[in-house]
Amino acid sequence: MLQATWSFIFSIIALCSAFAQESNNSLLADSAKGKFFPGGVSVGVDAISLIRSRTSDKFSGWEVNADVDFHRYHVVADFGTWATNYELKNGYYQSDGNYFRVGVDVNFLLKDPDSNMLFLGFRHGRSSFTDNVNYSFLDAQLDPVNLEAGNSGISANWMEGTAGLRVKVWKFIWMGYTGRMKFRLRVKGEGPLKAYDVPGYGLTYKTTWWGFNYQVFVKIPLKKRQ
Amino acid sequence: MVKKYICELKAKLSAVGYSLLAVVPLKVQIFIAKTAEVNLRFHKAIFLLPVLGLLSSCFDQGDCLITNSNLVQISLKDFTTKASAQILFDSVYVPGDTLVYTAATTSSLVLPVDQSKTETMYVLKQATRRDTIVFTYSNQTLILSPDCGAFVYQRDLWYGRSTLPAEQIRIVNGQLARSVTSNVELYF
Repeated sequence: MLQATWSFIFSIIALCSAFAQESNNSLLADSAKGKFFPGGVSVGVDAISLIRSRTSDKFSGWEVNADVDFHRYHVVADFGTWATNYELKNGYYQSDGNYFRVGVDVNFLLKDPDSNMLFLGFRHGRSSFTDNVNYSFLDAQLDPVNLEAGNSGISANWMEGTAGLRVKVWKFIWMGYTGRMKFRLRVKGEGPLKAYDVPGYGLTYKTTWWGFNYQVFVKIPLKKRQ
Repeated sequence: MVKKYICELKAKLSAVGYSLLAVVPLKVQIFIAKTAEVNLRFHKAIFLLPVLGLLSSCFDQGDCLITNSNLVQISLKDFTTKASAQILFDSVYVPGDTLVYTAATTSSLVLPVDQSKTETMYVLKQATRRDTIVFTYSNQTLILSPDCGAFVYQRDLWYGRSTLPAEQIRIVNGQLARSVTSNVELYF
């Protein structure tokens, strides 16, 4: 899976480079050397996940984010854990697992002196999780029946379109948000229970699911900005 | 200078865009104001995307449309003409358990399967013959929403051990559901 993921990342970078636009073509020849050397590494954490984990008894999780910028292109990777539980009308459901996303963002504020970002991008997400449900119902003779069903080690993958903003707030600290449109969910390995909540994606009955992260980043520059 | 930028931006943005600005830090507002000349309409679209998405998600709950059923719909037909036939049964029952039909003349049977298991045996007793059919199926639980609850659906209906020959049984629809009118055809 890791090899396939890296192959996916590099193929997407090659595709995006074909659509790159440069506003100052006269400087392209002189400044091309070293342009695609990594400008910096950013490592961050999603504040919303941490807050939800503290304030909600239905959700527990965290997410860390990292990206490396190559000129206006940012190669992004996210990793997180996600556990949810729902009290049903006739039972109880819980889901627990990990997920990661990889993708590319394109920065539309390349010449900003503070390296602020306004970006569009996409992600490929994958999740591995287990879920379980306990519930009861009345049979044809109106006798109560208790059932338990679950899946272990099932996987899911999906695509995301992203948009967001990131601004420098102090020295090496950046803050910003990312809006996500998640789609094309595929779940594999379902057994006696049809998965209801996929870690990293959300509820499965929605063909398109929206997400929002508010992140705090620490950026480590790798080259001096010209 | 900062106030000038923000005032100019407020004048340009629509009510929705301006309301979104109110929740972001001042540093971000300044940043937005400075770059507003680039393409304000583009920025509004970007800002509105997560807001619109969140709004659309807030009020959209799963449909509470319950369609599951544990009833096998059986049509009785004449083996020669393949037309619907009225068959007299002394009894139809689950051995050691449920008596579903007794002294009934009917052209169809509705037989409940055990939702806690993956097979149910039925005995169809007539005056001159006694047939046994074992229905096998798989169970899958679906959660419609927390307010609706979880429901078990039977699918992949098949006949396992049966005294009826294969040419007298035909599976029409392997999914048990309230909208399905016929799952099995039996030819006598």
